[in-house]
Amino acid sequence: MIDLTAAVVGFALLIGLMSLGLHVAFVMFAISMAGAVLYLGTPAVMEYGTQYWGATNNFVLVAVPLFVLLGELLVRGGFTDRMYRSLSDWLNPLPGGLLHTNIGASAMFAAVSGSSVATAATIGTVAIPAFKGRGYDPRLVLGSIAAGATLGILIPPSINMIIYGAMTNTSVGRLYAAGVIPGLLLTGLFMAVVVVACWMNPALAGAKLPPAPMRDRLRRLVDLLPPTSLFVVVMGSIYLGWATPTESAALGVVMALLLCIAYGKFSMAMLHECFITTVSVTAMIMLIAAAAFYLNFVLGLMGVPQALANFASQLGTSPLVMLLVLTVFYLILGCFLDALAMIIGTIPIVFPLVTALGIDPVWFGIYLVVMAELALITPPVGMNLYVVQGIRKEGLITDVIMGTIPFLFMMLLLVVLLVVWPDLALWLPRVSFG
Amino acid sequence: MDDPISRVVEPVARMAAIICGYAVLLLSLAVSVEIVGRKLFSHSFPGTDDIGGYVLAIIAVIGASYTMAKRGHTRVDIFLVKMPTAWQRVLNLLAMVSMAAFASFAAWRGTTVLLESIEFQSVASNPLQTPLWQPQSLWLIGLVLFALISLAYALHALLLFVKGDPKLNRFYGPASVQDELEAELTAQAERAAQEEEQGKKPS
Repeated sequence: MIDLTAAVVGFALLIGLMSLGLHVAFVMFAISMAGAVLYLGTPAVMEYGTQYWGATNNFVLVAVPLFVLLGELLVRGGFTDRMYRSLSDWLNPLPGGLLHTNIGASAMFAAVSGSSVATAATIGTVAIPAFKGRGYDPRLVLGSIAAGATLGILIPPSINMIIYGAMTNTSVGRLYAAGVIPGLLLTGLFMAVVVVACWMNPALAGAKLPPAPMRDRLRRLVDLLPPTSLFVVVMGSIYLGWATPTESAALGVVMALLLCIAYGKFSMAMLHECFITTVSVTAMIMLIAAAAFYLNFVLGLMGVPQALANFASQLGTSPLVMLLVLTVFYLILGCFLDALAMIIGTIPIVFPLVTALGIDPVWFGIYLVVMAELALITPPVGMNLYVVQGIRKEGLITDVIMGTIPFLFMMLLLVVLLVVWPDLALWLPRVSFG
Repeated sequence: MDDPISRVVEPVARMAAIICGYAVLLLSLAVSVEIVGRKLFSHSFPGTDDIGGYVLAIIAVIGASYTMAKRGHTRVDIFLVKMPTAWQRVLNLLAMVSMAAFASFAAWRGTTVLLESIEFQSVASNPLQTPLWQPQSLWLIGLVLFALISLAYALHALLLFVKGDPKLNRFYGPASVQDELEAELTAQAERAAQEEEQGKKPS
């Protein structure tokens, strides 16, 4: 059995080499090679090709390019601005007015998109101009967009859940079901922040526009139809057991394409742009994922998961203490690592540790996604902060960072709630899949 | 990227990426037809799962070259950009050389995978009984191209390093978030302009 010091040294090297700016995929490959050479010998090294083919020739992961393509089509599909306006009709009367629309529209877009960055780009482009000259507090506006958009990976579908599911052999369908209630709860918590903030200091909210006539508002409800129908088809086909998550993603792509055509936004140039982004993002994710699968394979042969499990049980820590340590660890890691790379890179070590303590794999998947959401808005490397600032093109990024802080606390509150009531995540998969 | 190698690689890799995109779109159509056929007509066309797996394996390696030309493979740059220029030169060179070594190793081991499939006449254990050499050949082509392109970048970076050329950091530093955003925002501005034009047309 391998001693754990070596595993700890390996992990420290992994983080250290990544920090030097070498390619993340290469670093994972190099560390697993070092393990294979030092502890396993030539056969495990030579296995690399077979492992590579096996890791990428994987139907679960086929959902990754499909959901990226779906997201790209939606971003260019042209129905987000109408969706935003229709939602604002109904959310405006709440204290905080238009701010709620940022969160509601993010949640709705998240329900058809698997990526938080795509959500931030889409909602940000529509929302930021809508606030021009309305007197809202800019920090709260930017914060609600950057934080609201992180819902993209918590509310299913979610690219992060697909990769977690593929790496840990956890059902992606169950993960999707588990994300629904925490996703809606976090949406509610975000809205509560806005209500409380604007109630304590009404100056934060801008001038209220008089509500549109009821007839117009009802007529504009049609604009909510594209995202809703897409959600019903993609998620419904999974929950009814008609389609696997990958298959439902394929249905979603076809539907999104039809929507683009219906909204008159389809062109060959636009389709090719979608293709290029899809293939490029997929290649980026898969290069890291393939290296991580090999790392998983090598660590497995080395007996690291068992060693970690033994260590965890000998240590006699409660799951609660472990989660506390992990939360601090992920908060720090999330400050400088890309959110997806953070999840992929830590699963081989962390997953055996937590399952040994009896933590449910589906629950832990949701927990990890919330940690990735936090990583998306914690400076200096919070991708969503930069996306929102980039769309805004004025002022300082500090405004965006300050604006997300209250929402950041809501995410931590969600983690606490998930720990106290694990059924928030686990109830829906239990009743839908038994 | 404006380095001499990308000027050659990028247009070709872009075409390849578009072709890969069509493969993904066709796969979506095939899978959708399969689901509808299965549910409504109790008629299934087996094998779309396996084809899906092959498509993913192949587009992932072919796309890797385009992503490389765009410097899109993930690097952690926050510490790097704070370092003195001389250190950045060393680390950027190291990043390109290590990537080339990684890609070349993958291509070498991939070759063995294909040769073994041919030698043992391996077929996939699925209804289609695909001879594995077929998808694996395309996969290997992708891997080898990725290795060659990465090697070219590594050699060029080495040349710039030896010559003391200051362009090394500009060409082979990580694509900053700002670059990516600017690219994305330009694209969005173009879309908006296009829409405006369409809006002006009498409907």
